Amino acid sequence: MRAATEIAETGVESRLRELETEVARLRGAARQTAQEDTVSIVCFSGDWDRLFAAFIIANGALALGQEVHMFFTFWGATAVRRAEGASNRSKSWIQRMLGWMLPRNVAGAPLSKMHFGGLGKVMMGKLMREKGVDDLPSMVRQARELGAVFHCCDTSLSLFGWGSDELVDGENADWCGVSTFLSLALKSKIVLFI
Amino acid sequence: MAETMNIDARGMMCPRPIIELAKARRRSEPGTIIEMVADDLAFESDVRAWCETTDNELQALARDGDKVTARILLNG
Repeated sequence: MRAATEIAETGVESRLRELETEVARLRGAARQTAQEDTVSIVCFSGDWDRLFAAFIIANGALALGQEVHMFFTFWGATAVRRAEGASNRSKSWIQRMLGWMLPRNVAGAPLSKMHFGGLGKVMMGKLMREKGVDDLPSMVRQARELGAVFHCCDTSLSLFGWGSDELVDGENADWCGVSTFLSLALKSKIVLFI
Repeated sequence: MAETMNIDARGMMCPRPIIELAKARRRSEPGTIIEMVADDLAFESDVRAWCETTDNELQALARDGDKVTARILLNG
C-alpha cells in the first residue's frame, strides 16, 4: 500500500517538473512575441501632407498613452532637417545639390498634390489657421515634447551627407539602422509606413 | 575553449554589418564568440537590437570615436 503511494508521488513529482519546464518555455516564448503599447511609424515621404498625417497619428497615439517611435528615412528626413548653420564642407557636389533642392526644414515640405509652386500650400495654411489646426512644425515640436522617440536612418542620411549638425537635436533622437527599426516594429501593435 | 571569430565591418553601411553578423552566426556553432568592429552610426543600436531579437548575448559594446566594437556570444 505504502509502495503504491510512493510510486504515485514520484509520478506526480516528475509530472510537476515537466509542467514547470513547459511553463518556463511558454513564458519565454510569450515574452518574445509580447506586443507592447507601442506605435512605430516610418516616415519615408517628404510630402507635407503625408508628414502631416504621420504626425497627427503620432500625437494622437502619444495622447492615448502609447510609446511612439518615428523612423525618418529618405525624403521623410525632411521632417528632422535643420539646414541652418549646417556645415557643407565634407559634402560632394551631388550632396550639395541635393541639399539645395530639398526643403531646408519641415516647414518647407511641399504638398503632394496641388502644390502649385507653393501657392497651394499657402492656401492650405490659411485654411488651417482659420480652422485652428496646428501647423506641421508645431506638431513635430509637440510630438517631441510628448515623448516621441525620433530615429534617423543612418544609410539614407549618409547618402544625403546630413550629419548631426544638419538635424534637429534633442534628447529623444538617435541614429538607427534597419535592425533597430525591426526590433521595435516586432513589439509594436501598430506599424505604419507613410 | 570557445572559438572566436573576428568581423571587420568598417566602411560598411546599414544593413551590411548586421548581415555579416547573421552570416557568421549561420556558419558557427553555439558558444562561438564574435568580436566585431564597425563604424556606421547605426551599428551601436542595431547590434543591440539584433542580439535581443535573435536571443544572442551582447557581452561588450564600446565606442571609440567612430569605431564601435562589440563582443557577441552566440547562443544558438
